[in-house]
Amino acid sequence: MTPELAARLSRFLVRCYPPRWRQRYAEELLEVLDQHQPTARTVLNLWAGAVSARLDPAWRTGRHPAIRLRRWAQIGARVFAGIAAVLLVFALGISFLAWREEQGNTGPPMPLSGGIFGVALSPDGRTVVTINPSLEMWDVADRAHPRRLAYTSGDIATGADPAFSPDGRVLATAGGGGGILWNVADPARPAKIVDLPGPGGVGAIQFSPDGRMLASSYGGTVALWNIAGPARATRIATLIRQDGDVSAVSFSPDGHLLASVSERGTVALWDIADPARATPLATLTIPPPAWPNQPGPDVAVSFSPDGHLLASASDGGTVVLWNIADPAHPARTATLYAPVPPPAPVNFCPNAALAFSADGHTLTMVEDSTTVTQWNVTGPGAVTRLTTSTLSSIGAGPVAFSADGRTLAGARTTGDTIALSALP
Amino acid sequence: MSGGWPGVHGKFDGLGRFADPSVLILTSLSDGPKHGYAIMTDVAAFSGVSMEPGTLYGALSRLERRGWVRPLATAERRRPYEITAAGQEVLAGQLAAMQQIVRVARRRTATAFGT
Repeated sequence: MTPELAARLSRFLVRCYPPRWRQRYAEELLEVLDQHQPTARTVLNLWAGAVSARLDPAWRTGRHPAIRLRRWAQIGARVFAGIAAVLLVFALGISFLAWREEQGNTGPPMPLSGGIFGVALSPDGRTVVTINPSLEMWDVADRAHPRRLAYTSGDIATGADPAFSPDGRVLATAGGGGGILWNVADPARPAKIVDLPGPGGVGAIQFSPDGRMLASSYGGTVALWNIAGPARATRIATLIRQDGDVSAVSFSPDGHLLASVSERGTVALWDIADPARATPLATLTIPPPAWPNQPGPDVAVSFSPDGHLLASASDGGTVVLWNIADPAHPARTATLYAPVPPPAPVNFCPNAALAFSADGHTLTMVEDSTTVTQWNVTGPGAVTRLTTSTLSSIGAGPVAFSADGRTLAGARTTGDTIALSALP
Repeated sequence: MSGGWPGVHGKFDGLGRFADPSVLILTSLSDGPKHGYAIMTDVAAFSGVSMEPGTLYGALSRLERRGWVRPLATAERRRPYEITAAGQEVLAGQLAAMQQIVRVARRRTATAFGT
């Protein structure tokens, strides 16, 4: 031990004597230390002296017992707070690590040319959301040059196409137990509002036309949610009817009917005018596929704007039109087959999309992202095929119609972006 | 240790103390008041015991509490101590006891080793 260190330690140890002892002797002791050459032995000796003086009852501060008790309580509280702080830091650290793990892939999103899992166009046509499987938001105000606005760090469950609320401020995706609601009022900053409870495996999710209700399916079950206040979403009803997993749902334009399509090709029609007492109206069976060897399943369902027609598409390119003017007794009015076999499956998931034009005159079906067929459905019984064309800009994966049914959005065939394609 | 002679402790170190610091301090103060550092050097000079400041002030505080030494007015941070009448009495008693021990020890070692 160097003399400087010994001297410093000695002076420090003088401060460790009891206060009353210090009042009396500290000054002279320091004076002696100044003259003495402190060594390790001096330090040890002072330490022992301080300990024995501390233990000596004569030097104990003659404070009132209550004050001493309070002092000990203060010391105890500080020690406890210290331990609690250390534990808290540990707990926070572990939580953070768990959170990081849960977030999973925190790197940049996967390139879109590999295909996407789901897509939706906002009602105003200015924003596209893709599931990739992270959630990505795109500014498509300039349709030729989509611009990526944001992407979430975590992956989203991929079972269902996302859906915008009618006002475009809320987005619903698969994930969570029964779906996830996102605040997308600012598309550049999507923020999760709530995880809807449920068993997981959401296969379809859709908003009601008034935006106050949400339908989400898992397995053969469709749950109806009151989302007038999205953060306080409550389940209104659970519809169980279907013979297979529900992979498409649609509300009628007046919001009184709900159609759900199972992967086995049945369409269930529900009266949800009073959602809490939803009643099954009819179960429609889609005929066997026109091209039975095509891989499935994927299905789509859509109401005509006047609510009198229901169109369903099932894998293999079969589209069926139903007259539902009397919803309890739907009548099949036409069975439309895609004119050519759908292309060989190059996608990891087959996809069909259906939409009526705003005037209700035209029905458009997109099969496997590439083949677009349009029919004139003006009069029941007078359905005529208008065109069949092949999209070149949109590549693998699902596609989404714009609100007016005139534009399609999907992943671009090449490059890491999306494409919008105007329909004839 | 000071000087060339073994002193009170010498080779006895590690086996215990023969002379208590209190006895050494009282002895040192017997020829007049001294301050702390003077006691240390004096004790080292007459006994060879190099007393550390911690030991010195531990003992001084005990002696003062028992009324065997008395502090005098401080002069430039140095406070001299003087032995009290009671301290002289106690020291005399201690020395008598030590003398008795020395006497017996001499007699017995003489018998044993023939010195």
